[in-house]
Amino acid sequence: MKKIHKLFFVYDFDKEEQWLNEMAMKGYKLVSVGLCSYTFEECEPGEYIIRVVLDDNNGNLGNLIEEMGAVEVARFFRWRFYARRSELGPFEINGDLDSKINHLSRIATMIKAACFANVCIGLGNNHIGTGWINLLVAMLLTYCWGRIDGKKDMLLKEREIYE
Amino acid sequence: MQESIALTEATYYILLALYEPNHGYGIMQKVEKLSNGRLNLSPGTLYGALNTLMEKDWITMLPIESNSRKKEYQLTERGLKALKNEVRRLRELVENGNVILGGCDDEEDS
Repeated sequence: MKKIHKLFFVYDFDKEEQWLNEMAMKGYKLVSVGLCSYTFEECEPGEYIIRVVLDDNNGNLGNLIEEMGAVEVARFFRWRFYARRSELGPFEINGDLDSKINHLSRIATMIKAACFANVCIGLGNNHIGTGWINLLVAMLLTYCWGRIDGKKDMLLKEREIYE
Repeated sequence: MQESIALTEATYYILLALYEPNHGYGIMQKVEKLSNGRLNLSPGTLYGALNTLMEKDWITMLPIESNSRKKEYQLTERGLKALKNEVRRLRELVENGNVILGGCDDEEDS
């Protein structure tokens, strides 16, 4: 078992996935995810392909992913981490531009909700004196939302040309 | 209601794959087979398409059996009609292509 502490911001979920696959190529399979911490167990180098996806709220996406032979190895709030044996072939969850765009929209919606909640709590708690913490969090979330929207815009531009 | 907009390849093949009720992975396999390996639907793609098709009432989800975790989908009457319209539209495209380009080009394909 190997535990590594690493920080990935929400808008860098693709870099996170890339790093998890680099670990998998070295022979470390993800088994659990905590706040800024990832736990691995040893496996054959390159045995698994790892994918990260934000769940929808009704579990249908998860069903489809598991039906193709992927196993959920970890979860963190609504984030799901799946592993599939490489011998089964290429493994993609969001294979085309449209599903990538939808995924980013789903993430953006989640960030917006968290941002809005923090603004409300921040303003509401103004009299206690801790409201500024929530407003700071809301600002950080707004930045994250902006980064996600930036990624989405890039894909939407591509979408105009390709399918 | 006549829908005369062209369907994407993925949508068309998903509808075709649901001519008989099927579950998610079954649809993925059927579409890959029908397209000779050309169309490999990822779960995210299929998920989005199935949601859209359900919203349009072209497919429905079958009632979940207690002993099976696999959700099955099937065409609705509207979906079947849309599919038939699409085949008709595609036939018109191919026929015009054959008329103008002259004859069947299947044999010339390498």
